[in-house]
Amino acid sequence: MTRNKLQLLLLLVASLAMLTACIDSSLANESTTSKENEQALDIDTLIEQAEQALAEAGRLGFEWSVTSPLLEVAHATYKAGNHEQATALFNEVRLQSLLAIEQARYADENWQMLVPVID
Amino acid sequence: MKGLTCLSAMLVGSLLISAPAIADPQSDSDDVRAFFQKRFSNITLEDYADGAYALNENARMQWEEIEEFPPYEDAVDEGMVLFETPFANGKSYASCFPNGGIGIKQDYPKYDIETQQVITVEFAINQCRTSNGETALPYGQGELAYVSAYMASTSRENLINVVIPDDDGALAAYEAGKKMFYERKGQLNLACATCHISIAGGQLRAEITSPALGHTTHFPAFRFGWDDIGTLQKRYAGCNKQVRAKPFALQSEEYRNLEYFHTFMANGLPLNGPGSRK
Repeated sequence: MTRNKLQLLLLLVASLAMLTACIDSSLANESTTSKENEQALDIDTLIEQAEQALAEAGRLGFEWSVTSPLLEVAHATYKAGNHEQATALFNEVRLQSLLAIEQARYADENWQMLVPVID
Repeated sequence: MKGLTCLSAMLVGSLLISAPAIADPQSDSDDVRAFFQKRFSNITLEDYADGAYALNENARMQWEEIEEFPPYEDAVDEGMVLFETPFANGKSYASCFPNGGIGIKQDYPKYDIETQQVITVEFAINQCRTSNGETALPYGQGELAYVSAYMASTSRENLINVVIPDDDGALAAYEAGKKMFYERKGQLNLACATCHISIAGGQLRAEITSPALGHTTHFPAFRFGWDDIGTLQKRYAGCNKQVRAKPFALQSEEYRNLEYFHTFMANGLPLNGPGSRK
């Protein structure tokens, strides 16, 4: 009887351990899926921001010639599954476009600075 | 009284600050000429028609040797044939231009008050084609550049005479072209004026930067880098690419306005196109 009780207790402990392990594993999987979703959401937002900024630079007539080709490379990298590198490339597109927009604003206010001054 | 003085000072101050933006075209042209006259006191106004070759004797000698057997000659001949070949409706390019299109390049670009836009020779060539039922030709090089080169050859030695009519649209187009010339663009953050005014006569790698004054005299030009005749706006696009700015479409409003300003600066210089350039 005592031996049976001991076996039952061991079985119970083993079951609890397995259950805990399963729950942990499940939670870990959930966490990974959640992180992936979060990353996917971030990169989608980043792509949108990069493309919007590039379009605005183009509308202002100040798009850099290197930016659109970079966007194509970023999309190709993303499609190939290299999300980390794609994120860096989309971010570069966004930053270049923001600089071009700032350049347009600066040019609009300061273009006269290069007009020759006659003493 | 003190308040009135302050107000007057502010008004005068604001007028002075905004003066360059509303300067009249003739005054702009005078200022650019005075600037170059001061920088290159040893060359005449007419010399600017030769671009960078006016600034360096060695480069000039090489260029003169090249011009003895002009690399653009075939293009001019082909342009003449195209110019004289009637369209399907029996008319020709001559029917679209004053004086039959001969010896008229010095008057372009023109501002068309009716359509409120700048008309360059190349733009007018394609307008002529489409109004006669022909398809427009690609801008930049090829047949359109050959026709333009032929028309330029018939205008050699004529003095550039671009007119800005007394019209708000014309002045706005000129001002837009002027602004574009002085705006820094591209990843390298350079303006047309950086190379062709601020450091004109200096060197970029092995090349002497040509003065902006006189650029428009010799286009379409045979450039060895192109291995063909190309138009002024093809060069604009090339310059934009060199500073890593996305170029505008050839004969876009932006480039036509730029050409309007750029050519007005060269008023009075003799046309010597087509020319050859490195």
